[in-house]
Amino acid sequence: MISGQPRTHTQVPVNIGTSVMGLRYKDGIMLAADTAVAYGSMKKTKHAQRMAAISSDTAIACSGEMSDFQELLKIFREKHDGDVIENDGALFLKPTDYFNYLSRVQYQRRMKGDPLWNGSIIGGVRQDSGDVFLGMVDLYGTKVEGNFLLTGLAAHYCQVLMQNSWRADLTEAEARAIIEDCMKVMFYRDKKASDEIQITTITKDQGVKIHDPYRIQGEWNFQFFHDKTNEFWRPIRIYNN
Amino acid sequence: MDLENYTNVNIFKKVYEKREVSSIHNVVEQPHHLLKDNTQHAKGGFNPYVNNQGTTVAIAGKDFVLVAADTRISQGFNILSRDYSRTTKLTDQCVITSGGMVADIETLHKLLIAKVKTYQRQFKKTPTVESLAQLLGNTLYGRRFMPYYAFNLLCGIDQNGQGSVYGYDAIGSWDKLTYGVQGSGSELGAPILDNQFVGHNYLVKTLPDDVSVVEDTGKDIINSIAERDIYTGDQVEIVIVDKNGIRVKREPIRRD
Amino acid sequence: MWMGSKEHYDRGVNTFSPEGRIYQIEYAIEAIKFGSTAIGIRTNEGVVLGVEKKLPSKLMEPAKSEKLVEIDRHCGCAMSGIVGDARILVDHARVEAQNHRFNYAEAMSIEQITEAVSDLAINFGEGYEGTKRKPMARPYGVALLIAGVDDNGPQLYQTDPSGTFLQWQARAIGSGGDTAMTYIKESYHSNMTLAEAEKLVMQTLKSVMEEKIQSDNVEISIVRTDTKRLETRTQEYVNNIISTLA
Repeated sequence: MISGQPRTHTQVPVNIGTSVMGLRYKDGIMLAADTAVAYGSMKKTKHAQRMAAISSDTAIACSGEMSDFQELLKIFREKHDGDVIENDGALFLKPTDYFNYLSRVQYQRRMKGDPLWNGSIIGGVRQDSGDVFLGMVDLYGTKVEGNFLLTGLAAHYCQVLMQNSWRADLTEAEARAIIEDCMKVMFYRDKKASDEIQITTITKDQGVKIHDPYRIQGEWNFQFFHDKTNEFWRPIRIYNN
Repeated sequence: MDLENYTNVNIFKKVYEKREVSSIHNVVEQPHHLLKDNTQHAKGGFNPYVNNQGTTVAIAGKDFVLVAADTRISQGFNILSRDYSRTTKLTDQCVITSGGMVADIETLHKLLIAKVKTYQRQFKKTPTVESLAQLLGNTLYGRRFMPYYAFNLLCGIDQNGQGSVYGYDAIGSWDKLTYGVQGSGSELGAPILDNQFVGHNYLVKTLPDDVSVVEDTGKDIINSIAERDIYTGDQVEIVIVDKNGIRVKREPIRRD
Repeated sequence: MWMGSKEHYDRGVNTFSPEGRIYQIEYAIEAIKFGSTAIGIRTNEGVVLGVEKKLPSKLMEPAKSEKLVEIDRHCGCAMSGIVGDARILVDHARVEAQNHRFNYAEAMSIEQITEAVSDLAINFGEGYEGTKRKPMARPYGVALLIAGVDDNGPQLYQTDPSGTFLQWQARAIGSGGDTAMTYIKESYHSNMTLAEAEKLVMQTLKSVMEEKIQSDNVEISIVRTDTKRLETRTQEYVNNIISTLA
């Protein structure tokens, strides 16, 4: 720390979780992330959880710096516990409230020059009214809402895939299929992505349900991979002088 | 006077060309306790600003003021949202519309709403557009050293019932206008406005009186900007303020 | 505190008597009754403020605008009581009025100026822990007549040491206040002209003043509804009115 200057933490992300996704479907919200955490180009952990419930009806999934994700969870947990104590166990915060709160936290931290280096997707379904919410907050505090949201590289690779296949009346199986499709693309193209993915669903009936991580099947059975590279004919250019 | 030192160009030269580059050895030979921590990593530090782009246009009429803005927000070459409203109601007779950084814009708009409410409770009346114009200028200048990355147009009906537009830069320099444009398409929009309306540099500023004509022109301008500016598009949001209050409508424009 | 006698409830400004009174405030209100008379009258054409300037000695210079001062371009203030206390309140009101112009590019309403004065007036006592400025240790021993023109037209307000402020059509404060009020009540009517009001102020002052009314021991100011500007009347103007008085 430079003496005389305020303490800052992440000025550049180190342990990075790659893209997360979220989409609305018929019953509620589906959030998805893979379980890999990269340290530079090395996969430091291949079995990390990058999503969590922040209340009975709201969940969050984060890409970006994983220590900041843990800090974020701590902030939410402390707020949640504080609210429970203050209200004798009753909770009044809706998914949108957590979304707005996260946005203000992120904005305050960016004002300090000490950001929480995350792209977060918050999803929730209100248990009373059944209102479905899906929103995204970045490290500046920018708020975005949408029917499907993508952070990081997925915003480049999967935008069109999502756009073409998303409908308001997707079943859970269909939603899962879209997510797996997108995750497969990410696994093929994003070096920091892995094929072990995890899904959280939030529904009116069951609330937040964080499913166990599982592996998606990549297709590697191409002739290209069977044949040795050397046996391919490839033109060799010889440059004189 | 020494003209060499007078212009900004020469000041720039002095700072950047005559700067001595310290060698790494100078640093290493210092005692360890004088060494600064290395906070600048290879990728550089955190830049707290981001431009989410977008364009907004406002035109004052004889007894109305019209805002035409696009609804696209971007981050780099990515579109974050296609239906973001960059215009906020402050009073029944006044709206603010902004381009720039969305997080800052939302904070600024929220702060202004709070200030309007405080004003209403303290002074038992609704602030005039003129008052809000001054208030916004002070609010922006109050953050002179970490500005709101927001380029604003304050639009409303003044005490004489006339439409008025106030234009601002990010640090609170402001002026009363008859029309204005802010955001990523401002360079494309300004000359069209200059051509279609009387205002800038004219001694007698005649305000248009037909709201439907102005509405069509406003839509056309945003649509034309969307043709050339990649950060402008998706929808045009029209906000009309007149003595009856505020009306909002939207129309789709090109989404590419 | 030595208990058992209710006389002692007037020692501290933060202590209620068992009857529910704060004696120091009431004493401060009493202090106003020793002050010179100040009169304000509101008409549709504008507001008039008039004050008596006591000259205890012939050697004293008749200072201008000591008890009748400007708060802002559109607002004047007449006072009765401890003039030193009034200066603190007026200085505060002036700052508030200018702040309002700076923040909102408009004149502060007369009611708000009065409220700002009253806010300071009740802010006496020990103050809070950790606050920088210590407030006044006792109530301000002064009443103010605050007059001016704002969006709601001509306005006349009166403040007192308890932080209460009231709106009036016509009001007199100070040593001759009660007599003056009776006098004004007889002649005031809601559609009188500004000139009539000026004359009524002078006539009332003449009847309540111990000394003979002269152009150097009274002063009047007006704020017109049309111009919204505070104007101080010249000695010649005052002389002209005096010559017409009964």
